[in-house]
Amino acid sequence: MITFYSSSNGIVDPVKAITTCVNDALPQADLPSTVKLIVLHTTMGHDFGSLLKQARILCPNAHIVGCTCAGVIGLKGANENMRALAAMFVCSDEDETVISSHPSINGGNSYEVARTAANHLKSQNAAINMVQVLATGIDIAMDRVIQGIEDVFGEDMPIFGGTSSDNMKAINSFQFVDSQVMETGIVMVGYADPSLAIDMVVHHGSQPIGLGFEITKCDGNRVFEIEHQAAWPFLMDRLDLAADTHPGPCIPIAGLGVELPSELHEEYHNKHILRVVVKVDEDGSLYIPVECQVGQRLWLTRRNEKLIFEGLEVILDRLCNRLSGKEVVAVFQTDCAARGRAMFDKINKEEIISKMQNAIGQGDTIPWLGMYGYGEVTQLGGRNRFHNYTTSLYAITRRKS
Amino acid sequence: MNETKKNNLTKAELQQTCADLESQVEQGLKQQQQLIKTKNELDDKLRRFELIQKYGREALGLTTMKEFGVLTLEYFIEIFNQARAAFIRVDEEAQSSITIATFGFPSSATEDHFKIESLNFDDLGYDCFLLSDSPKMTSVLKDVQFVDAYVCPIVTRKNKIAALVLLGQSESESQYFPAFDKADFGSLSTMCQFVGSLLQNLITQKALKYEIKERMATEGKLYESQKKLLKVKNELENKVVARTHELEVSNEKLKSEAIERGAIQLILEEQAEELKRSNDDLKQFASAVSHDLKSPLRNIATFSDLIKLRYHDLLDDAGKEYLNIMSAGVDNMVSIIDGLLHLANISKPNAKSEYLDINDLSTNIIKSINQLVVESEAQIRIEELPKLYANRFQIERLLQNLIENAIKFRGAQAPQINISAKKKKNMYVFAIEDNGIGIEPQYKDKIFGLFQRLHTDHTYKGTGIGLSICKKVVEKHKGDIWFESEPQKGTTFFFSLPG
Repeated sequence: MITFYSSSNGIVDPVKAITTCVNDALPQADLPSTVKLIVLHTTMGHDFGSLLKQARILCPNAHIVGCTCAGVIGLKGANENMRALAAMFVCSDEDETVISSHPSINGGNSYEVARTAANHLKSQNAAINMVQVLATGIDIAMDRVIQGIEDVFGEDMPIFGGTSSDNMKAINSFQFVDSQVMETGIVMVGYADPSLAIDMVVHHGSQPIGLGFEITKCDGNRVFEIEHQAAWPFLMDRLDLAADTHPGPCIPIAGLGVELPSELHEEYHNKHILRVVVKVDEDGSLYIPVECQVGQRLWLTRRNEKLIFEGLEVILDRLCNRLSGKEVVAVFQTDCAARGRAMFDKINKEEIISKMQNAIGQGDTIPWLGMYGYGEVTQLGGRNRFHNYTTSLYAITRRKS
Repeated sequence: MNETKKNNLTKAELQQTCADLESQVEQGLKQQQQLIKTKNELDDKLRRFELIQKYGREALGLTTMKEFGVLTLEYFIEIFNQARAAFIRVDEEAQSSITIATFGFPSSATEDHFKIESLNFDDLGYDCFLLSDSPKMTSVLKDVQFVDAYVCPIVTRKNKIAALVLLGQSESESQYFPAFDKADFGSLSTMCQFVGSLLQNLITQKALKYEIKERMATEGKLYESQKKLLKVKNELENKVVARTHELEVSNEKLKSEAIERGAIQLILEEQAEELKRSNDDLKQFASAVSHDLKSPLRNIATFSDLIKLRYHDLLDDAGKEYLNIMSAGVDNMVSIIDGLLHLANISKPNAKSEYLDINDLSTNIIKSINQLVVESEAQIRIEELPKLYANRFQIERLLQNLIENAIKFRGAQAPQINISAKKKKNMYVFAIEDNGIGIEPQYKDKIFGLFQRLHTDHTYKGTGIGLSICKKVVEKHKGDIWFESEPQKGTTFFFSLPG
């Protein structure tokens, strides 16, 4: 039976940081040796090698997976310092957690790599009932990743997780597996405890601006032209910014909306799903984290605080209703990096997080691990989908026997 | 009215209105973004202030410079979100520096890379500055691989630069870490003032602790010394008590021994007195024997000689035989008395000793008993004999008695006597060997006793005093006497004398 423990801190020394995490989450002396999996989220300033090395020393029987992010979210709230760490420690008596990884994934090979990794996952334990995925956030087609996983496990397999990020610089991001640090990797975790189930909700709270524009040239996840103009300069012009502006600083204001099928509008509390641009080529082409098509319409969007807080209420109500009568044993959270300090001040951010934790915990302290990344994998309309700019919550529940 | 007007807008006017609204929205977005940025900056200032306070609380409890350096850097890193930092302790007077702690540098960055001793510390000033604004310092720290850094002088309450904190990033780190911003100098200065006060506190505390430790150590040593002294004193006192007791016991014992010895001494003295008296009595007895016994014997001998001379013809053979027996008895009696006198004389203390040539002495003795030698046809051979320091009279008696015995107790053959001596350690062992009748083993212990005679007068004449005299003489000279004998083959008498 899988059990979860979590901790987070802003200690700047990596060895002290992970040691404190382990000690805080697993106060009983014998617990660290029972940890089979550690899911780590860290901001960019930490020495990743030292973190992983010390984690392996402290929990010698555990696999380690994780990724970088713009900020971590734990029971103590969010921390977007250059050195912040959060971890979920997963203990089990048997091999109920299995992992697979690939060091090199991109927009062009996303499906194949994901399918290979999913097959490896399944080969280790056919009883997997949920898959967590953490992947590079710079150049990837996450819809194809989802397709690859579903082709192995089926469409009904719940997939959750997200893409890694840096501190909103849109330069690079890192993924971890055991002692390996990858720059363009993907990591998957298969959970195979039949007593566990997952409920997830997602919401972004942004609104489209204007009439939108059309993709006129693209290839996979790379958009060359919008309205027959170089894609990135076109967008920068619309935002009154220089054509060579780096995408990093634009993330909070350059979210692109794509219209959703009408049957999903109500559940999504929005008509549009958002896409983020974190990579731009010198030719003015831009990369979005899913495949796109010529003729597809895009909208610049703006966040709407009222909608954001309303949406938060909606998804929390929905999740709490679903969780009613269930035992919540852990919560994972993937938020867009832009929903951190770029979108909210400290007070708002803390209010949002505590609101979520109080609503789901109902007075109990539930192990919680979250990150501000570049994208979120969350079910919508009963299907696994990739999102940007959202808050995605994944509540792991234990079926009552 | 307005509604009507709005509905009557031309397409161009509508487009313009849309564009205006769009522009207003974008403007609003930018303003919103700016507002969030400003709020975040305020949040950041608040966070820094809280962290500085937290740092102060933690740093107060530190006791070592190393701990202080490490904690200070960790807080600088956390507060200012920089990649790497160094805490360098500065001694302005000695113009020296020592790296207390570093953070975020590769292990190849050694302490030597942070040496800033070639700088004039006075020129640094008390305000924070950017490393890139100080070419001299940049060149000193060129191996540290800072693309830039905040240089933060830590000034103590004594207005002295006590340390420098370098806070910066390498070129590769600069793409992620926040850019250097002179707006940070305000917070940096606040932090530096805090660090300066805490450092001063640590130095003072350290000095005080050192002094307290030293005093405690001294007190401890004194206490230990006192303890040791007290222990030694107690041990000594115990020893004195024990020794005193031992002495008292010993004294008591000595006293009782002295009393005992006194009593013994008295007894000994009494015994000595008694012995002296006995000796004197013995001497008087010897003199009496010599005089009182010999006088009547002389009368008997004289008158028996007169009877022989005057009444020889009147006596029949039996009478003549009786007279001869009487004369022989008198002669024997005289010999016994002389022997006893000799024995008594040997016992006299302080007998005079001299160097004696035993060869000459033996030769003279043989001459003096020449008649006996001739009559017995004895062959006496004297080997090389030593010279000795001894009493002449007593040694003469010793040798004469043994030679006479060798002749006297002869067998069928004429006596063959050999006199020899050998040196053994510090003694000379003399041997007087004969071919006489020998001595039966059962007489071994009896032979040196007074008046112990192994033969009747009829066979071998003698008084039974001779060997007693020999034994007495040898013992008087710290020697020993013994014999080896085989019946009917001969006897060898050995005696040892100091050489």
